[in-house]
Amino acid sequence: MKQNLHKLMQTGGALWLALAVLAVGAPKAQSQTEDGVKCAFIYNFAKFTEWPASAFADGSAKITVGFVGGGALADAFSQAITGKNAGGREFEVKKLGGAGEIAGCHIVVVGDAAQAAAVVGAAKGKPILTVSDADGFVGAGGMIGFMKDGAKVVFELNLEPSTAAGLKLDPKLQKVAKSVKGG
Amino acid sequence: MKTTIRPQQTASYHSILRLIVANILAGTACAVAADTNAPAAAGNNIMDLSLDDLSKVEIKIASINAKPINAQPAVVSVITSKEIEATGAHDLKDILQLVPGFYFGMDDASEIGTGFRGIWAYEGKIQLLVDGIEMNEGGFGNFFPLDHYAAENIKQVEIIRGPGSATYGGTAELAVISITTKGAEQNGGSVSSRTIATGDTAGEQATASFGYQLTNDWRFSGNFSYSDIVRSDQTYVSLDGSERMNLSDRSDDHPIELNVGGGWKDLDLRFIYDRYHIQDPLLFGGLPNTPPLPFDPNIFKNDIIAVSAEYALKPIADLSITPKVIYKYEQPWNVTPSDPADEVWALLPTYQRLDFDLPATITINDQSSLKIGAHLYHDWTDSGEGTAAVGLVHPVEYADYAGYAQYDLDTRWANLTLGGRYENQSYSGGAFVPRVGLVKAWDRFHVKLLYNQAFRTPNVLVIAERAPGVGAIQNELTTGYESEVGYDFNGGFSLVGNLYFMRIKHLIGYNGTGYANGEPMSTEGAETQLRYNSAKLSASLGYAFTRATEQGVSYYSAAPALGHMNLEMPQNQVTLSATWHVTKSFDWNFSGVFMSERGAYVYPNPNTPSVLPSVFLINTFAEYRWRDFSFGVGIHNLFDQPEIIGQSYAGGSTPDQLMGGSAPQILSGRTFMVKVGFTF
Repeated sequence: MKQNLHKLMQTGGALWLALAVLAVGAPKAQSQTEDGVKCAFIYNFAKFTEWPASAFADGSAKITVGFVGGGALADAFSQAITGKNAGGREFEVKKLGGAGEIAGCHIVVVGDAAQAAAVVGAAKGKPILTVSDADGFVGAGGMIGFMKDGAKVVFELNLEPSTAAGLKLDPKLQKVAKSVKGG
Repeated sequence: MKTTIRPQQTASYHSILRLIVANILAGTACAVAADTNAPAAAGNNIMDLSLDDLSKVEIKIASINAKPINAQPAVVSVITSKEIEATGAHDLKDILQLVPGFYFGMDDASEIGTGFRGIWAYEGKIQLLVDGIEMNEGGFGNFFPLDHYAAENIKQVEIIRGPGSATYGGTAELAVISITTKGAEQNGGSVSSRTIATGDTAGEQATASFGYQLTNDWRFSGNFSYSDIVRSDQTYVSLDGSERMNLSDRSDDHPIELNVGGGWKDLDLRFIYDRYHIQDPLLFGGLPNTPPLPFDPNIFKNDIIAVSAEYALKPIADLSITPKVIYKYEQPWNVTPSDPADEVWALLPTYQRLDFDLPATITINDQSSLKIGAHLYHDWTDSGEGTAAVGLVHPVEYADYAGYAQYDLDTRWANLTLGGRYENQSYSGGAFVPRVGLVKAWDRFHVKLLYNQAFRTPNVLVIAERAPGVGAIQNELTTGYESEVGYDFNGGFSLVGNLYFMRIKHLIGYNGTGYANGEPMSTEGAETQLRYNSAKLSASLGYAFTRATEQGVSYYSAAPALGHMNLEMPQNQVTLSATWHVTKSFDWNFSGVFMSERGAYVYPNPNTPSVLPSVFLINTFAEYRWRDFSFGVGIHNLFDQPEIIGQSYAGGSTPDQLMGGSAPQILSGRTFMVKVGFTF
């Protein structure tokens, strides 16, 4: 009986090794981290948004992206955006303490759901693109809300506040968005 | 000449242990090595993807349990709060009734239980989790879906079909129902009140839910419900026809539920108080033959208090360890008797469980992950002073320990899952159950092949109430083979369907004199669901077919009335739910279930099953939302069909001590509902 058990365990060991080898040899799936995908989306939001000229001090002023909460995403974005530009403008990343610090930002990403309503209120009518993955963000007056669709990150748009703020969102964004409100 | 004596090739326990550790480490280490050599910069190019391409990128899942439904190594259904709200559901029964494969039966103190895939699954065969805490009562392993688990406070119900013990433990034998209540993500809350009226009676359900993410680190939520609902306005007729009574004033259900959760960073705490009190007009001891009835109904009571603490540790990026401890204190199956003959049931023992789970998930690389864990619990009862009078053996105490592992490997060709669990209960001994899954998910199409085993250890009151002459109750063992295919069509349609075969050995059941192990029983069948979603319409059409292929447990069989079926289980079932989104503020839903004929003990055949006719229950519910208010009106059982709930086993208990079983209860006919809600 014990010999059988020993054999069984050896077989089990072989199986584990086979699986490990399979894992080594298996082709890489096209999967990314959630934050990585969100960073790329934020970058694309910047590329497909037109701010009023008054939003920038001059033609070379940077696009300022502020993060309220979501420190890990801010770090990832800061790293990923290095060397990138949108419409010839480079990026500057700021970690913000709360809604009271969003002045001067062009994009505000809200990672702290508890601050979402305050940020929406503070950004109202100002040329600031608001983005968050907080539940109900778009319904509460936010402009772009991240959602999960199975293993994919998707987003919904709310054109009412962006239009009121003088932002022009490229129709490509509407085409890719999971849903569009106020269109 | 020297003689070399070869060591005998036997493995000591130490060497076996070493081999186990080596096996796991070998697999893990090699795969980790593979990850180390993987291109670290795989994520950099994503910044250059177009919007179109970005929306197709699949994200890496941190937990092997967090895969999308079509890629999970299980047959899974998810019902969201929106779907629940649209149908006007008020309890778990309303929700399950629209899920293909679920049926209902009655036990002997008027409680309604659940059948699944053609098998009476009431006692310990389906695991019910509420926010991760098992809420099956500890005495027999039951849960009670009628007028219970307020739908208004539910965020999501996830149903994992098939044997799931390898992952979820003992009571996950035929399925797992996992309820997630509304939590901190609400950043606000809601209250609701609904009136449910039938005939000349009316009941109420009131709910309150709130949750706040107070800061980045702190969160808090609470859910409360109170119900006072009349279970039936119909006339009860005993098996021999000698007793008839109107149930309108003898079937009040009074559940109270309180569920409070809080968290700080990676620590989660929860407290649940679940008080399920219902009137039992049938009485344990049986009704007298001569009306008027001398007794008020008994009050059947099942009270559970549970607390849990869970801490998610992440010592390194790809390793998470989540120790969890749960303590439960229960008074299961307690009765406030009106009939002096039932007084002994007021003295059933209290039950307690201390439960510790230690799972660890290692993300080996993008393709593979390993979950390993240890699970321990200790169940005990007090002496239960009255239990000897009803022939129970007390106190009961046992310990249970388990080790489990699951390895997931995702390749281009398919995703493979290999797992297993070894569990040993100090009363009934040990069992090993394996889990194998092969899943291939394309963009729109998926295929799953699954093999699982599950087991159920006997609960404290099962052990205490074993049949005369039964020395010990063995573990029950279930084997399941399942396959599922699914396809997402263009235009909002999706179709998913499965085939299954399930076989139970050593079934633990009540044979009329007490609990004993039975001979094997098995069922096979199919379940399918077509869904459609658009801006104007959300609809789901389901169909389930089942038949008994082996009926070794005679007291579950509907023979000779329906020889290929078990009692109370219909062979064919159709479910429907369609919500018309008339405007952004106004939804109108029709839902319904068709069940083909079933076998049950009914008057005037007390000793042999009869055939109950097929039934088609249709409900409608409309909801209008204005600012923070919602107003709903609905009719349940629109065509006033008799919803007959028969006993699912020949138990010989109530009301006439006939060996055939209990006469069925008929739930309320056409019922009107008005609901008002406020969100803040």
